[in-house]
Amino acid sequence: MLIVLLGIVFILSLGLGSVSIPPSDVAKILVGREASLPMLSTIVWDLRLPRTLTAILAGAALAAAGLQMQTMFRNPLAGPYVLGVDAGASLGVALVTLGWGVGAEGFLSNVGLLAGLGRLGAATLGAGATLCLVLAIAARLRSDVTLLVVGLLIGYFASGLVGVMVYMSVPESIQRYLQWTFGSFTAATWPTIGLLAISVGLGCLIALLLSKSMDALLLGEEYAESVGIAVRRVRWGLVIGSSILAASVTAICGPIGFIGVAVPHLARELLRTSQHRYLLPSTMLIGAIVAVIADIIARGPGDDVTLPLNAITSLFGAPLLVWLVLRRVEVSQ
Amino acid sequence: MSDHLTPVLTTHDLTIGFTSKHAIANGLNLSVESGDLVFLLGPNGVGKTTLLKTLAGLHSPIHGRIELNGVPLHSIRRDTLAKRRSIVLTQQSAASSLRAREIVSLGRLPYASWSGSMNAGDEEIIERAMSMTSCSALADRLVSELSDGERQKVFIARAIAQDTPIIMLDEPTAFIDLPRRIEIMQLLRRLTREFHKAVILSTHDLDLALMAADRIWLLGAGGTFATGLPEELVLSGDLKRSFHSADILFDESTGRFAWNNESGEPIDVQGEGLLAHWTKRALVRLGYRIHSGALNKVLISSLPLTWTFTSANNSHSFPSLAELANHLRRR
Repeated sequence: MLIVLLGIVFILSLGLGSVSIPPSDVAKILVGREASLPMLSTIVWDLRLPRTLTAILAGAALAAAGLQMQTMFRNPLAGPYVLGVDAGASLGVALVTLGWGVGAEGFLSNVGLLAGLGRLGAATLGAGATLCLVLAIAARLRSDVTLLVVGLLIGYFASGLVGVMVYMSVPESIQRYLQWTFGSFTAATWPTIGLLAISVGLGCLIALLLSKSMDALLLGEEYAESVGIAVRRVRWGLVIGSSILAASVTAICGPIGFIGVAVPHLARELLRTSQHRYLLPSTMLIGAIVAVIADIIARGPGDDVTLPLNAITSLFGAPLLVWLVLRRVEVSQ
Repeated sequence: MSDHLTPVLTTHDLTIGFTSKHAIANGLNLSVESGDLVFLLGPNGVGKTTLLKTLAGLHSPIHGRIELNGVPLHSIRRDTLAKRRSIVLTQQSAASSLRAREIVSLGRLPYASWSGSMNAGDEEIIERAMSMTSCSALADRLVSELSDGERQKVFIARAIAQDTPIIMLDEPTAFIDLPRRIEIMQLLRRLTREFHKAVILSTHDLDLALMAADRIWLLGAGGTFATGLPEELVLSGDLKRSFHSADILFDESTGRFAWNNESGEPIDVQGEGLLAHWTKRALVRLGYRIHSGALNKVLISSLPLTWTFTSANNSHSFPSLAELANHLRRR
């Protein structure tokens, strides 16, 4: 059922925008036949298909990463960014986009090298560096909760650095930086989509292989250990897998909020199960659907003007989470 | 029957604790047989949980050996070990999204496929574990909606579903009212008698231990250790020693702790049956020491029911125990 729904929003996403394309034409274009207007083919292949595929991959990845973190920390408010990956990516992007402003003062003169990599490279480096830092710290920790706190603090630290850089920057570069933090599925080109697909595929494979272990982790670390789960190894898998997912999406699309936190809850409500062999694939499908819908809403004005994606996910995600939390409180009383 | 008497768990010169400087207990030579209901008894904070977790392989021993069926614990693969012993912990940190049935079914995880899927046989075992612990009716409830007692039963069902020869429980009766505690004891006893499981549980509930234990491991403050039948430990004075303090008296005939009333005012009770028994209990509670031939006397007469208190200089009659108690508290 979810796959059918994904198919529907996929076709809708290819058809909707400043130029509407009827579903029959969309289907024709996809199978390589001529549409009624040749221009439509260009719009689908060069604009809307990359954008929609990015949304599908990003939505699935963020939701899967969010589910992994919620399970690992047994905390319903955990998400793909609890380990600070987004803050690391933001720092990378800030160094490139804001670096121009301070670079002139010689304050960060070596930043020029980073700038050459562009926003994408910088975000990847930032997220990767944060990931390594979290892993290095995780190796010394026994408790999941401590790791959660460390992740949060790394996030705050990176945000602090970004704050200083924003303060010292010129408005134009701040604008460029903010543009990235708004989040968008439009930046992707076919080669980057290929890279995204590979890393999302890898991350989701790791998650799927760990579904039994994640079931056990819901009981707590000691119980998981007692039913034969190698808890330390599984934790490494979850941290690495979810960080690959979150980092690759963030590098390409910017930090996209709420999908990773809210979608696993939707999946649990829908399936009424906590078993990850069902929950994980459904979470990925729902994540993809939600991301595509959010993108359709974001392009409301048209293909060339796009509302900030993060505003859309927050506007819809926050009330949803509030509703879920309130429902849970009512149920437990 | 003979295989029920082979030890399923033994330790040799075991030292437990967190660092060798701060060992909790050392030189432990323990042995548990199939069908044994073993109570690990000791005051709060003495290291019962650490001992249980060490025996379960969740905590490393500082020194010495633990063997399951003669095989060193540390050489047993994690997934094999999961089929040998199951645990019920005191602190439950399970995710609130779990339902009771899901918790029980997680006991079958050691037998499940790589993805965690289970077969009809597993489902049957899960159902049976839930009906044995009478928590079938809770199956669809969220863990956050369960009372302490219900949650405890669900986690015991989970351990039963794991189908291991050894079950270890850390304080399974904490936070639970007395009737429910006895219910859990009966269940654990049934596991040892009918299914020949070895059950080890920690508790500081001496009453239950004296009532149900096949064997007591007594862990005292300062790392002292004694083991034996409950009755043996009473007779040897070990129980008295490990729980004794100035204000608490261990009554060796009832196996109960009482307030130390040695310095209380002596009083004599004359009456019969339950009335006399509970009148004495009330007086002890008020700080008196029951002593026949004492100068202070309480005489219980029926028709009409009257308690007459006589002391050296006066005498009063009361129509109820409450009024007697009230008078005595104001003297």
